[in-house]
Amino acid sequence: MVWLNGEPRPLEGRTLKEVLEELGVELERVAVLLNEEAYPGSELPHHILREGDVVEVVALMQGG
Amino acid sequence: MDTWKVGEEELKSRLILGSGKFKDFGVMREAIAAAGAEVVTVSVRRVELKAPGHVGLLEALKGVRLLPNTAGAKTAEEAVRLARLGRVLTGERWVKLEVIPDPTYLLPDPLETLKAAEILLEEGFTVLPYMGPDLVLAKRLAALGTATVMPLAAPIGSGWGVRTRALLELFARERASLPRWWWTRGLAFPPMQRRCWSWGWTPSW
Repeated sequence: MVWLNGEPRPLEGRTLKEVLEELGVELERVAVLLNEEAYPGSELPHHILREGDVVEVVALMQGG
Repeated sequence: MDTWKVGEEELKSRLILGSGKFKDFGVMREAIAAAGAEVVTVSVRRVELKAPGHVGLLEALKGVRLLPNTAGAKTAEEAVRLARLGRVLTGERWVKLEVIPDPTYLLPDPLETLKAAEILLEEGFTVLPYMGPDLVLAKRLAALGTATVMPLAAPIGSGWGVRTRALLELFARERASLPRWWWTRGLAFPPMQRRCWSWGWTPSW
């Protein structure tokens, strides 16, 4: 399983970018934490998802 | 023009606004313009993956400097993670550090705040920590090299006005040995703001 925003999903073998695009994420507006490494959504590494990967997709929101 | 500095950043307005609790983006934009605020704080939150709709916050905040915060962090580790993500999202190196484990009174955790500040400073961040009105902690943070200290005037969202005045007086007395400081929270309405100015203090919330 891959942990995506806190939920386990069977995404092994697919690329991170492909998965996020399929979910309709606007990559230029988000940042992605992949196993504790932060990337701009528009500069994702070519990463094939593996068992145990932890992915967090975040954006700026109102608050504070 | 009278200016002040936060780390390396030179600012004209002494008012830093939050971006939360506005009815809509239109009201938020009007408030920012009316206040003349140059800097607005924003939070970093998980995208809703079931409906990742276009929010439009960046467009609504065009023309102001963004100050990402670590709202939602309960530990130093979480705060550091959010700060790194905020840097990626805004391109800014400064961060309003908030580490709040307690959901009832929203009080900041002094030990985790100190720990997070140390890590973030090592990573080159300009750190603006939110904290209780504790002069000892303020001096510890100052010794690490935070750009500001930000003692609370009353619990977040209480609208109680300044309830920690005696402790804040100590901050005022020790001004020379502290980094730039401002205080925050719990200030309900403009008359309170004016009273703060009459004491020579600069409020922010």
